[in-house]
Order: sequence, then structure tokens, then C-alpha cells
Amino acid sequence: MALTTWFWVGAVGMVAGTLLPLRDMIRYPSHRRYDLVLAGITGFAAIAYAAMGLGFTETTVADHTIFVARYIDWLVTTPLIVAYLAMLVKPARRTYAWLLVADVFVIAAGIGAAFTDGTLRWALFAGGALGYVVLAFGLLRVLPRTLGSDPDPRIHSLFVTLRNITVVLWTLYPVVWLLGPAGLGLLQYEMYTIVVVYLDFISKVGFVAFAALGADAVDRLVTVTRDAPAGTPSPVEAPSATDDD
Amino acid sequence: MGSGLLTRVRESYGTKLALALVLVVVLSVGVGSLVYQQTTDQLEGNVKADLMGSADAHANQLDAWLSNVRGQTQLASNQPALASGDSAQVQAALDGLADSSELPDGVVAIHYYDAPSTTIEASSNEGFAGVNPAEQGAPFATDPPTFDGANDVVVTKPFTVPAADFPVLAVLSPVQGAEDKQLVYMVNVNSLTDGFGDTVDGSSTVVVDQDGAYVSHPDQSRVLTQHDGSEMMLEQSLSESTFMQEDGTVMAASPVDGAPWTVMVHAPQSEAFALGDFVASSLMGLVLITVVSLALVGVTVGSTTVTSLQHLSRRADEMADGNLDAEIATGRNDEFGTLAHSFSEMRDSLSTSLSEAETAQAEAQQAKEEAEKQRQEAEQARENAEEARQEAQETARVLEDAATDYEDALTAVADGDLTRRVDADRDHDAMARVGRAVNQMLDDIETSVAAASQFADHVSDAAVRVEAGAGDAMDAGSDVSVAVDEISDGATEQTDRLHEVAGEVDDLSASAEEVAKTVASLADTAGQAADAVEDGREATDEAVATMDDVADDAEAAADAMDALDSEMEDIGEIVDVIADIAEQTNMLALNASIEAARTGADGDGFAVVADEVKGLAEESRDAAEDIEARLLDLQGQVSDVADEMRDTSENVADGRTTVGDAATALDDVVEFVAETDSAAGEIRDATDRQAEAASRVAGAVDEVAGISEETAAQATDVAESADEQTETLSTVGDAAADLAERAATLDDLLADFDARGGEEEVN
Repeated sequence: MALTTWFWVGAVGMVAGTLLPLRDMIRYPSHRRYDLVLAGITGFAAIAYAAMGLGFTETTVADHTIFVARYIDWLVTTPLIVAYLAMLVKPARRTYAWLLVADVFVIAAGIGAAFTDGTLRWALFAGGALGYVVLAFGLLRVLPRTLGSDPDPRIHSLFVTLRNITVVLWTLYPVVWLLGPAGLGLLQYEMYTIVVVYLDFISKVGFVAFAALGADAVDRLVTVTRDAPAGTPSPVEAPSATDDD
Repeated sequence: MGSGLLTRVRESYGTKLALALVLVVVLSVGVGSLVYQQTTDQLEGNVKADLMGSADAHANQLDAWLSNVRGQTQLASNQPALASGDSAQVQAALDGLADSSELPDGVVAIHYYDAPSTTIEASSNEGFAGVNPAEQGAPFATDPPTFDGANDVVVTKPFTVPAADFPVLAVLSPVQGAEDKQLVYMVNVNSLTDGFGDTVDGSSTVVVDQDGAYVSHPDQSRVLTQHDGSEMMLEQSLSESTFMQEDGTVMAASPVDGAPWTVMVHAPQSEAFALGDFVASSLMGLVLITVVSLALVGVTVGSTTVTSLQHLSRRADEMADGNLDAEIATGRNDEFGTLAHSFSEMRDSLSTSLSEAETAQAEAQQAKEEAEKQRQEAEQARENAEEARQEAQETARVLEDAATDYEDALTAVADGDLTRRVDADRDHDAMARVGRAVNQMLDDIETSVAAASQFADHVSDAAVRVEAGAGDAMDAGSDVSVAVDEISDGATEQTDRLHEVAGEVDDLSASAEEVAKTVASLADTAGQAADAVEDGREATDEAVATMDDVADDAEAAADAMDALDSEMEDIGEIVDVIADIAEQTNMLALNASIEAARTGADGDGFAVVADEVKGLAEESRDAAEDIEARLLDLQGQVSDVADEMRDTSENVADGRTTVGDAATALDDVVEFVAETDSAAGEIRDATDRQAEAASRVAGAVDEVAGISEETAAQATDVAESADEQTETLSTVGDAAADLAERAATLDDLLADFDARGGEEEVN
């Protein structure tokens, strides 16, 4: 099957994923900001995949083809994911800043590695890995600390779930990349594309789906910030959009 | 380090889950690798087999071709036509061979070659006729092979000649019968391998001769060039099928039997093993997709589970610490939601139980404090009891003393000394009260007894007086009776006399003096009667007076009786008081007993005292009862006396009435006497008028007689009345005597008591 087919599959999947936050945005305007971020993640990915499906931004570097659209997609959507995670715990502005910077650094290093060759390539790869370590530290240590010792269980659960999904799946990207044509070449290009599309789908749509399922936690978050900065969370009457887990 | 890791694993569900998933991934990767390995091996094996098969097939093909060519050549070379020397025949033969359908593939020309002159005398391809291969440089010409007989066929190595624009090889066979003539089949070398199909994608098949020159090559320009492969492989492959893999190329080679050639099939490794790489890639992709999916599922399940469990465990810890207010909630509706809900319910019920327990604890604490308080109170009470015991002992002793005193006093009182008083000045309030009460009682009793005694005296005196009065009255009465008898007698006498008078009236004239005497005696009699009546009246008055006295006395006695009665009642009340006191003392004794019992053995003395007090109280009660009995008795007697006094009173009243009647009667008598007197006077006067009035006198005498009878009758009545009166008076007297007796008895009884004021004079 042609690669573009898979890209279209990915695009369709991303569009499907965007529907959830869009629906929530309309139904529950109280946490519109969050849904906007979620919609942004899958929406932008859908656009990128559509572009790739149409064959845009296809370039050849050294002996393999890469799609720039994908990297631009990652450059936009991964910060959004990190931002969403941070929005769940509401840390200091500074924390937002360096988390996003770390994420952008990782992606940029990845793009650099993709476009270069030889030692530079591996050096950039290593640099990106380092940046990822920093980002992972932020997600695994700093943000939970902001939640405090006795966080609201639903917010905590949602944050931990989404964070774990993100960290675990994002760690798989370099593995796949290493196994792919740009690395060891054990994965042939079509398979690599399929795997990457799937990984993208899971890490974005899975993220968005679980975030939408955990919308009731976001309600509580929004109520907390709306009512009192340090007040006890009070359950909101807005019906939860959660289905069975 | 290992144990630390193990502990970490054991304590974390997430880690366990992660490890489990990692194990699954590792397993998948392992199995995948295994599959990959086996597939690769299989594929490689297949490729090798294919290549070798291909090489073998090609080798066989070549073999077959070679055999065919040899055979054909040999056969053809044995055609007699060729040995005829007739060029036309030869040509025809050549053409025939060339056109033959059995012409081997690749044969481009068949030459009739003359070896000595190295000239192609004839050829199926006219262009070659007359060509001198030696000048062309064909090895078979320049270096002619040697034949083993006419049937021998030689296959030359490939060579290039200018005449041909492709490499050729020649198959020669001497013509049978024409020694120097050879039949040469010119073969386009390339055509040999044109038929070789690509069994393996990207593979190319070459044929190499023993010197390493290409006999056939897909790239024609390379034919006859040196083979750029492994010499070793070449060497080996000339003798047997070989397979080799090096430098990214896989090669299979198979020797050709009919010639010192080897067929080599080689293919780039990437192309030969493309399937394996594809399979590997697909497997890897599959494993990766599995890993990704597992990662998602594992992470989400693990995260949600672990966070739910952490939350619940944190809440459980808080509940264990006592904070039952934290919210237990998850958004989940599955078993974790149920668990949270159950936790919440458990927390609520714990909270309730806790608050109940706290309440109960508070109550228990309170109860404990109260118990403590009570214990202290009991302790205090015990001390108090101890003090009380000692006090009680003291009190008992005091009581005992007091009781003893009281006992003595009351005993004396019981013996009759009502003047005795108890010393009520005691420390013990109850005893003091008892004492005072006793004293009061004794005072009252004394007073009462004194009063009673007084009264008894009064009564006695009154009775005596009554008796005396009654006696007087009786005397008077009998006087009256006597008088009345006298009156009666007189009256009777009078009557008789009157009768006499009446009789004598007739003799009136005879005895006026007698009449006058009679009248005078009548007058005397009347005067006597009047005196008598007067006496009687006096007596009656006396009687009346006495009766009045008696009545008054009786009344007084009755009043006194009543007073006595009330006094008795008072005494009775006092006795009740005594009884009460005795009861109280009994209670006191009882309490003392109880106290004694409470204080145990120490209270024996107290108990003794209490018993004594109790005994004393009982004695008091007995004495009181005795007094009461006596008083009741007395009361009874007094009551009887009162009744009798009342009777007496009534009788006296009756007597009085009777006496009154008597008095009235006496008055009547007096009146009658007066009338008699006046009548007598009249008689006297009348005697003067005797004559005239004799009848009147008679009548009057009759009247008088009648009146006398009446008088007699009335006197009889009076006498009866007087008798009655006498009877009554005697009754009175008896009663009074009785009363006196009883009063005396009372007096005697009261005399038992020493009471002050009992000797007072009775007025």
C-alpha cells in the first residue's frame, strides 16, 4: 500500500480524535481552554497528515525521504501536550516556560538529526535525548510536586494517566526512529510509517480521548480556580462527560 | 542492590505491571526474533536452494545443450554428404542442418572447415564462406584441437572474432571420411544464457570457464573477460555445486558436465533476502505496534489503578489517623468506583461509630468520673461512717446513759411516781426530745392524773354529797312520805272524821262543840297538815334544792367526767405520744442497729445500746400501753360514771320534777289545807249557821270528804310520788354510792400515782 494511504488513515484518525474535545467545547464551555488545547493537538496533527497524504513537504535527505510536515506537526503539538499537562497542575509561569522550551529543544534536535548526517546526526540525537531527560524530569518530578501532597484524586489520576501515557509513548519514538530507515534500518519504510502513524495516533488521540474522558476532573480544576485559588475543591453540578473507563 | 530492587518491585503495583508488560514485550521481541530468525533461515535456505537449483538447472541446461550440440555435430559430421567433397552437397547438407528444426539453440552458423588451410570452405551462413578463421584469430584455427577419432567432438572456449559481433564458441567434429574436414558449429555464446530466466529477483546468471573467463554474461561486453569473483569458489564450483555469500552478494554455482564451465547465479543479498527483510520489518513493526498498544493499555490501566489505589490508601491512612472528613471520590463507575463508594460508606459508618464511641467514651469517662466521685464519696462516707461509727459509739454510750436514765425515770413513773422527770438536757437531740417529750408527757399525765385525782375526789365528794343529798332527799322524801302518809292518814282520818262529822252532822246540833272541836282539830290537823305540808314543802324544797345540788353536782360531775374524758383523751394522746416516742425510740434503736450492723463488729456495743434503747423503748411502749390500758379502763369507768351521772342527772331531774310535783302537790295540799282551814273556819262560822247549813255542811262535809278523798288520793299519789321519789332517790343514792365507790376506786387507782396537786381540796 502506498504510504499516502497510511497518512490518510492517520489524518482520519486525528480528525476523529478532534471530535471529542470539540464536542466538549460546545457542551461544556466551562473548560473551553482545555478543550481548545486538546483540539489543537489532534487538529494540527490531522492537518499535517492530510498534507503528507497529499504528498506535500516530502523531501529527501541523504538516501531517505522525510516529511517536513510531520516535524512541524511535532513542533506544534508536543508543546501543546506538555502545556495541557501543566495546565492540569497549574505550576508557576516559569515552570511552564522551561517545560515548553525543553520540549521544543527536543523536537528541534530531532529535526536537526533528521536533516543531517554522520556524527552531527548522532550528536544532535544525543542532545535531543538529553533535552528529553530534562523534560521527563519536569513531567515526572516537578509537576507532581506542584500538585501537592493531597491533590484532588480525579485531577491527580487524570494527570498521572496522561503524563504516563505521554512519557512512555514519547520514549518509544526514538526507539522506532532508531529501528527505522534513518537509523539501523531494521524497519522498512512502509512498516516504519505505519508504526509511526500508529504511535502518533495513540499518543495524540489516546491522550485526547483520556483527557476528554477525564473532563470531570477538569471541571473541578476550573471550579477551583474560579472560586478560590486555595479553596477546597467542590464538586461541580455539570454532568460528567465520562463514559465507563 | 538486588534486594532493594526486589523490594521496590514488590511494593509497587505499577512497577509490577510495568515489569509484566516489559516481560510481554521482551517475549514478543524474543518470539519475533525467533520467527525472524527462522523465517530468515528459511528464506535464505529457500534462496540458496533457488539459486543453486537455478545454477544446477542452468548447468543441466548447458549440459543438455552441450550434449545435444556434440551429438548433433558428431552426427552431422558423419553425414556422408559432407565427406563427398562436393561443395554443393556440402552446402546443401549445411543448409539442411541449419534449417533443421533440431538445430541446437544458439547455433548461428555451421561451417565446413578445412583444418589444414584453416578455411571455411562452406557455411550455412554465406557470409562466413571463405573466411579464414585463423586470420580472425579463432583459436580453433590458430590452435587447432586434437581429435580422438572422427567421432570426437571438441567444444572450444568462447572467443571473439571480428566477423562476429558477439562472442562465439565453436563445436568441431571431424567429418567422417574427410580427415581434414571439420564440421564446425558456431554458437552465439550469449544465446546460451539468454534462456536463463531470473529465478531469483535481481539475480544474474553467468557461465565461467575454468580459466575464470566469462563464457556467458548478461553484459555481452564482459564475455571473455576475467571473472571477478572468488577464485576459490571457481575452483570449487568447477567440480561441484557450491553456494557462497560474500560482499553483499549471494552466489550459487554448478559445474557443467560437458565442458569445463561453471554456471554461476548470483544475486545481490538485499534482493535475494528482500522477503526476509520485509518479514523482519513487518515483525518488528508488529512488535512495535504491540508494544505501543501494550504501553497505552498498561499505562492507562496501571496509572488509573495505581492512582485510585493511592488515593484510597491515602484516605484510609487519614481515616486511620482519625480524619474522617476527607472526600473519597473517583469519577469511575467500575470496581474502583464501587471500592471508593464502599470506602466512603465505611468511612461514614466509621465516623458514626466513632462519634458514637466518642459519645460512649465521654459517657464512660463521665461514668468513670462519677464512679470516681462516688468512690471518693464512698471513701468519704466510709470515713464519715468511721467517724459516725465512733460518734455512734459515743452516741450509743450517751444514748445508753440517757436511756438508762429514762428507764429509771419511766420505771419509777410506771411504779407510780408521776413526779419523776427525766433529765432532758442531753446532747443527743433525739434523746433530748424524747426526754422533753417524756417530761411533757409526764407533766401532762401528772396533771391529768392530778386532775383526775382531783376530779375523783370531787366526784367522790359529789357522790357523797349526792348520796347525802339523796339520803337527805330520801329522808325528806320519807318525811314527805311520812308527811304525806300523815296527810293521807290525816286525810283518811279527816275523811273518817268527816264521815263521822257527816254522821255527826246529823248530830250536829248535838255536838257543835264537837264540831267545833272537830273543826278545831281539823284546823289543827289542817294546821298540822299545813305544817306537815310545810315540812313537806321544806323537805321538798330541800329535796329540790338538794336535787338541784345533785343535779348541779351531777352536771358538774358529768362535766368533770367529760373533762375527765377529755383529759383521758389527752392522756390517750399523750400515751400515743409516748407510744410514738417509744416507736421513734424503736426506730432509733433500729437505726442504731442498722448503723451497728453497718459498722460491723465494732457496733456490737452500739448494737447492745441500741438493743437496750430498743428494750427501753419497748418498755416505754409497754408502760404507755399499760397506762393507756389503765386510762382506757379509767376512761371506761369514767364513762360509765358519766353515764351514770347522766342517769343520775336525769333521775335527779325526774326527782326534781317529782319533787316539784310533790311541792306542787304540797302546795296543793297547803292550798287544800288552807281551804280546809278556811272551810273549817267556814265550818266554824257555819256551825253557827249549823242548823241552817247542816245539809250544806253535810254537803260541804261530803265535799270535804270528797276533797279529803281527793286529798287522800292525791296524797296517795304524792306518797306514790314520794315513794317513787324515794325510790329514785334511793336509786340516786345507790348510784351516788356506786359513784362514790367508783370514785373511791378511782381514787385508789390514782392514789397509786404520786402526783402533785392531787391533795388539793375539792371545792
